[in-house]
Amino acid sequence: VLRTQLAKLTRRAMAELTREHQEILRLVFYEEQPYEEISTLLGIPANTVKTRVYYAKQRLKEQLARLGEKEPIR
Amino acid sequence: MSDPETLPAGVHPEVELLPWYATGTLAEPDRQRIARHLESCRDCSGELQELVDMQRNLQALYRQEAEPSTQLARSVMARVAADAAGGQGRPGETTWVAGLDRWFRSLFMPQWVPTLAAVLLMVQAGLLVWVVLPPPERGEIGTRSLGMQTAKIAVVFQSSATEEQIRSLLQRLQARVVDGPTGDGVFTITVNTGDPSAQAALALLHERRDLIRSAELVRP
Repeated sequence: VLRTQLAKLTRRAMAELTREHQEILRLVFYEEQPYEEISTLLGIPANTVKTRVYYAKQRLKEQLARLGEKEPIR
Repeated sequence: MSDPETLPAGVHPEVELLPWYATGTLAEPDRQRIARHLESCRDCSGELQELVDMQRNLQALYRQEAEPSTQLARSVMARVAADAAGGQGRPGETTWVAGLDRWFRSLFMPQWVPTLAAVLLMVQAGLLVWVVLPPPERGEIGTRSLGMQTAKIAVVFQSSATEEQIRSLLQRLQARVVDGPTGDGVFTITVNTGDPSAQAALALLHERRDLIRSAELVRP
């Protein structure tokens, strides 16, 4: 039950992110692409890839915290 | 809103590489450097744990959704955009594969199909009109039969006339019954307008008062 709730919360939190953040999180954490390949795929510098992941993760964490406050997982 | 190009002040630069450290996709020198840093940095270790948890959640989420990979989606969208721009790719990309592809597609979209469909529709419409329209009068020469020139005569036979007498008379006139009797006992017969003529046939019928009560030419 907890896992299901967490999955729902994560889905909603992801939906609040920008398309760029959703895309980079998917590439890193689901498709497990090295940052060099992501850089080539997206056509952006490797440093931008790294910082974008950092800020995407921060935004997701914030959204999860916000949604978790509204609907605490029990 | 785009992200800053640098990490916030106070964040260790190693944090940038932690996502790839977590997924095990970091090159060996970088991996060793991060591992050494993590041994002595509790903040970055905490960050790494968050990333590991996040990856677990995201993987569960994406496995449920089962969308195509980002690389594939981007490739498809780029191709769609190129096609929508009116080109078949950049000029240098025209290869024999592209030619084969166009030829194969043309088999399913031949230029002559609309013309053929239009012709078939016209033929069907013509057939429909031909079937629906009434056939030409028997006395006329039509395209569907080689009818002879005939005339119609409305005849009322005497009630005393026998069938044999009537048949004999009709044979003599080379006539045949085509309709009747109506409620008034009127038969319609046709006679060839050749020899004898319709008028002659009519006169002959009028002579036979013993068999014919009335006879008159039917005007078309």
